[in-house]
Amino acid sequence: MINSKNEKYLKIFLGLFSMTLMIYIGTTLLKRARVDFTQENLYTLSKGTKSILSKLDSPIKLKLYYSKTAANKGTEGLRAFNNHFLYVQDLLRQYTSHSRNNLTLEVIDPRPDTPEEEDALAYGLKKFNLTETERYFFGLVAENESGTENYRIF
Amino acid sequence: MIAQVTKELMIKEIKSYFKTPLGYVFLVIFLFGIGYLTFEPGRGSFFYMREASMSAFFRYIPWMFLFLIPAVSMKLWAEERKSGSIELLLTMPITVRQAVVAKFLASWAFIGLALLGTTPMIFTVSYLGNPDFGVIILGYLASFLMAGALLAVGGFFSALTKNQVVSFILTVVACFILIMAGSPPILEFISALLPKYFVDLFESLSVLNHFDSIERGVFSLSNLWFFAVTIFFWLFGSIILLNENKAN
Repeated sequence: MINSKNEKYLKIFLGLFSMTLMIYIGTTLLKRARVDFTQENLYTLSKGTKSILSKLDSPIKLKLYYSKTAANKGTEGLRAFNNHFLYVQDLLRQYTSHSRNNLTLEVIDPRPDTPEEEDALAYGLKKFNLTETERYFFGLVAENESGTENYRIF
Repeated sequence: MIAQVTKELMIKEIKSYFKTPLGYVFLVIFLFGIGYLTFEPGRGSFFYMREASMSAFFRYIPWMFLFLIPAVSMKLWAEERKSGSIELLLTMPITVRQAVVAKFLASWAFIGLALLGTTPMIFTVSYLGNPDFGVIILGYLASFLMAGALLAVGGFFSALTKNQVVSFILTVVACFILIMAGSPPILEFISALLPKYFVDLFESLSVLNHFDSIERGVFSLSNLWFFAVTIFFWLFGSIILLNENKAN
C-alpha cells in the first residue's frame, strides 16, 4: 500500500510536523526559565518593582505604541531604537507576568490611516512626521477604570 | 556516551577539512567576511554604533552563516553519495546513525574553530571600552548553537541529493526561511491571515529570534530547547534519508 519511497517522505513530513509542534509547545512552556547574564542585570526585575507589582489590586491595561514598520523603513538612527523597543517590550512583559493578572500588555504598531493611529494621537503621544504619511510613535499608555496616563518613552 | 567509532570518524572528518586547501579557504573567507561586515562604515557597524560591545559583530553572524554554513554542509554527504564512497563507509562497522552524528559533530567543531578565530575582536573591544563579557560569551554560545542548527539542516539537504550545488541552494533557501520566520513583514503577513497562535508559532520557530534573545544577554531554556529539538530532528531526517539509500 505504502511503498518505501512514500514511507520515507511520510516519515520526514511527520518528523517536520512533530518538530514544529514540539518546538512551539516547549518554547511556550519554557519561556519563564531564564538566566540574566548581563552585567547590570538589565533583564531582571528589582525587588522593589516586584513588590509594587504584587500589590496591584485593580486591572491596568498597558498599551505600547511603537511604529516598528516606520522605523524599519527609516534611517539607521531610527532603526537603532528597535533595540530599545525590544528591551522595553521585554521589561513590560516581565511586569505583566509578575503582576498576577492585573496587568495586560498590548503592543500596537500604529500604521497610517488606521484607528490605532487615531487612538495614538488622541492619547496625546508625541509624533514625529517622517514623510507625508508616515508618522513615528514610541509611547506607553496606561489605562484603568479611573482614567489614562501616558508616558513618553522617546 | 559517544561510541568510540563515532569519535574516530569525527576526528578523521575534521582532519579531512584541512587536507585540502578548502578548509583554509573557507576559514579565511569567513574571517575576512565577518571582519569586513563588522567594521565597514555604514549600516550598524562597529564605529558607527559607538558602543564597546560586540553587537555589531553578532548582528552579521547569522547572515555570514546563511551562506557559509551551507557551503560546509553541502560537502557532508552529497560528494560521498555521488562517488560511491558511501557504500564503503557503511560496510564498515558503523551504523548510519553514528556516521551522521560523527559528520555533524565534525562540521560543528569546524565552525567552532572559525568562531574561535574571531576572538581577537574581544581584545579590541576591551581595549576600547568596558564591554559586558557575559553578553559576549552568550553571543558566542548563541552563534555556536545556531551554527549547529543550520548545519543539521544542511546535512539533511546534503543527504537528499547527489548534487552538491543543489543541496547548497536548497540549504540556503531553507536556512533563509528559518532565519526570516520571525521577521516583521512575515509576521504581519501571517497575523493578517491566521489567528494569534500562528504568529506565536512562527516566532518560536525563528532561528533569528532565539539567537537575538540569547545574544542580548538572557539565556532561556526555551532557546536551548529550540536548538536542541531542531538539531535532533534534522539529523533524524538525515538518518532516515541515508537509511533508505542504504537499502537501495
